[in-house]
Amino acid sequence: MKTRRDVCKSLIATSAFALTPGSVAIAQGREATARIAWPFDTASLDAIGVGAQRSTWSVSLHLYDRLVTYAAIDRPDGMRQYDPAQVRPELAERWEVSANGRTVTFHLRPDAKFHDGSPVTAEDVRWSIERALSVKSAAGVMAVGALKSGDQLKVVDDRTFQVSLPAPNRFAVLVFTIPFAAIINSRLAKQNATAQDPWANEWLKRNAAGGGAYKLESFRNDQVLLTRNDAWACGPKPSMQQVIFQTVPEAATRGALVERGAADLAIEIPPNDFSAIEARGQARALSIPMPNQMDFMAMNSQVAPFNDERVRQAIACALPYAQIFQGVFRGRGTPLFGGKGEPKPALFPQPTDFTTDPDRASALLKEAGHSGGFDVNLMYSIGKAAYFDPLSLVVRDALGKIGIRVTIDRLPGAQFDERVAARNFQILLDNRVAWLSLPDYWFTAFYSGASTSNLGNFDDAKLNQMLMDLPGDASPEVYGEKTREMTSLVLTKVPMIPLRQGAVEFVMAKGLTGYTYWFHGLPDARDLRRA
Amino acid sequence: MARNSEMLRFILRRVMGALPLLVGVGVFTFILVRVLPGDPAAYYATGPMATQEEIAQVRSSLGLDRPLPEQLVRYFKDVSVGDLGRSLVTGQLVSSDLRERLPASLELTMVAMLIALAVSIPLGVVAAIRAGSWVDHLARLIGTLGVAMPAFVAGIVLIFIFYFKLGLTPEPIDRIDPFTLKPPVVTGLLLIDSLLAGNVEAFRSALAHLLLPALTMAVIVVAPLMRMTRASMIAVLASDFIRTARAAGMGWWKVYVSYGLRNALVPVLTTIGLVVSYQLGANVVVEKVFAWPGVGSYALNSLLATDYAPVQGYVLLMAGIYVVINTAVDILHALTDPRVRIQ
Repeated sequence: MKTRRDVCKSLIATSAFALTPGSVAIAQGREATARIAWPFDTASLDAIGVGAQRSTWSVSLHLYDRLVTYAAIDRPDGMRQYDPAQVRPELAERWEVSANGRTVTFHLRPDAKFHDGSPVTAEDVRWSIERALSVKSAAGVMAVGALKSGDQLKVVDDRTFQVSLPAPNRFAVLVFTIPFAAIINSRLAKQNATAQDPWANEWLKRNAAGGGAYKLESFRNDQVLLTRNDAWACGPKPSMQQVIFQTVPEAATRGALVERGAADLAIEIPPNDFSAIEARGQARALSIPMPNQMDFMAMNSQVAPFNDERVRQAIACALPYAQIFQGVFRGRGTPLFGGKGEPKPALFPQPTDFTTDPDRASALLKEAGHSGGFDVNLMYSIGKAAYFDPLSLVVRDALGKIGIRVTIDRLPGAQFDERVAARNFQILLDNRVAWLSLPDYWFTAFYSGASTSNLGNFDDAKLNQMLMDLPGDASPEVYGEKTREMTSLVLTKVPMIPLRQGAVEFVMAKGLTGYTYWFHGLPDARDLRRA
Repeated sequence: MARNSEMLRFILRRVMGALPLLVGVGVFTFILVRVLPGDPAAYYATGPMATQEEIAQVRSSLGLDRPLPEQLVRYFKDVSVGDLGRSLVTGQLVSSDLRERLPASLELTMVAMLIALAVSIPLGVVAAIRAGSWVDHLARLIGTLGVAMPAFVAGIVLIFIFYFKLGLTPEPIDRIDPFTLKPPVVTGLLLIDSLLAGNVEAFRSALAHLLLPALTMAVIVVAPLMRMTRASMIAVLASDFIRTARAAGMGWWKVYVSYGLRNALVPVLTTIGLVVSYQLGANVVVEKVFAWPGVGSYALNSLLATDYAPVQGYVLLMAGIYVVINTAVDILHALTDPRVRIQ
């Protein structure tokens, strides 16, 4: 007996030795470090091209500067959010748009330097933007600002960069805020380019060549370590000396890390964990409504029976909106139903005027010749299951009541994307944020065209014509009136049924302040401070 | 001398026999990964506004528009010179990604195996000696619980108790505290590297980070090892030479350990081989729960991202390790039991 007990004792002694908490030096480093826990892997550091995901964009915003960014404004709840109406200088200290609206001139900060100490020149800007235009996925968004070819870009002198446009365009300056428009140290990148890879795409995946507020310290897909660039001149000096982006796949662990003080910020917190953390009160469970986001149900409006707008409207009348908002979305965010009267000008997303009305739904179905109902498949991505699991069940029950029999496909991300790209679906649940949150961007990206973001597969001649006719320099009155008409059209023909504007939900350590909601919906450690 | 060359021939035969197996695994995973639904081209056309044309551009740049047999031939040509391809996502060579991450998985597996052996063999022996007693029943209960509990549940429960409630272990992510100075890479095994560098703090941190995931992996394999030890031990204890040893009044160490356990270990050795291979697979789940930067979580992420090359590379690597372990077990058998090497 004695020997056994001794063995136990020595075992406990060894493990106690192993478990002694870290040294004092670590604790000091910890104070000045923001550790952010998220579920994503960071596969690449290059904001454009294969492998770039949301995590890449977030890290890229720390490593690289853009010409311009948005101002952040205080929210009534003490947190902050970006203001789409106020563009603020970043690399460019000022810019002007010519009287005819066809030339935009950016003047770079004289003191802006890359991490290797070389000054940022207009040639770097030209090279970086031309590179973005060489990759189709980035070019598609840059085209919204009428930027299509490198010929439109001009280096006037070392610090002056000029863009010429075929016509005035209200996105001409705004496109330079997006993650794709990162300004790269072109000399450094060119040294690492090869004949097959003239834009150094492969090298930039693993290496940073920027001048942003943070430098790359070490990079693994599941842990990105950044240190502050004390020479940074393009914005207010960040408070945190180090930033760690740590991949933590388990949502419960992410929350627990913040509660125990091992991490400062955890994002992508599912509703159950969020409520539990809120109840325990060891860390702050916070949410900020996202003005440029929409949760929706999209119907493939080019295949039967959804090519009949009455069928789409019938479905919009059948959804139990209040139950969805309170039960599924826990009352968080902003409802996008039950709107009254005419839509507002120059605003999107907006509430539809649909309310839950099964009788009207059945009448519409009958009118469309589907009084016996039909079978339909609904799909969504597993990555968004936290909300869409319960939502899909609510939708199935509600549509069942008007005779529409729903089967549910819960698909891995790659399969979901494949079916969206092939337009091989009937109904889907999804949500999106718009980087450029003006209404006509929503209509261009999400309600027209052949791109995968047009999830309702909507092709409406009248809307397309209205978009084409909308002048790029329309006065606020004209713009407001035209976008009100477009809003009214898409909310009546409902290729996508808006459900709510979501809220970004995260857990933050007590004593941390400054969290700012940005248009990309991801954390930006430049804003974080310890109180 | 004759015995030596006989042994060599046996080893050669075993190794040659493994080659077709590896080729088969290669072909099988190649086809499987491509038959699975999910289009990498659609996934990688990442912009918010991807079009069909752009997806086609991505597809041809990935070589996915070539006929399948052509892709297969190209794949094997590359593998034969040690090129496992490039990960689409990271842009890195799969072979260097795997080399970087394999030590993390091996360290975890080895420590887990040590814990499992340290628990299961004594328990199995005691259960056999006291068959039918409460010790036996308790051992069976522990074993059953371990087998019945999926690895991710065991992992989360351990995290909840030891990290969240008691705060005894460091945060259950990664191999080492990010603020600790890491030892220079020699073997890639942090425990060994930190000792070589004389870095006590790194050793502590690595050991503390290793504890929970290793326990999780140990829990799931304790049962088969213990049951096998018990069964084999009971058979041995019933044999004549043990009865003789007992009758001769030898001490319990001599009877149970020197004679008993030594003879009982042969089938246990086979089980260890099986269990290690199984553990390498279980790694995938445990690594995901503990955000462990090993090959398992790498393979899973790649699979979810329809990144073909890393998945194929991972399966080939695992098949290779499996073959090595099995060959080693066979050779150990042949060494201990002459009947095995003469067919």
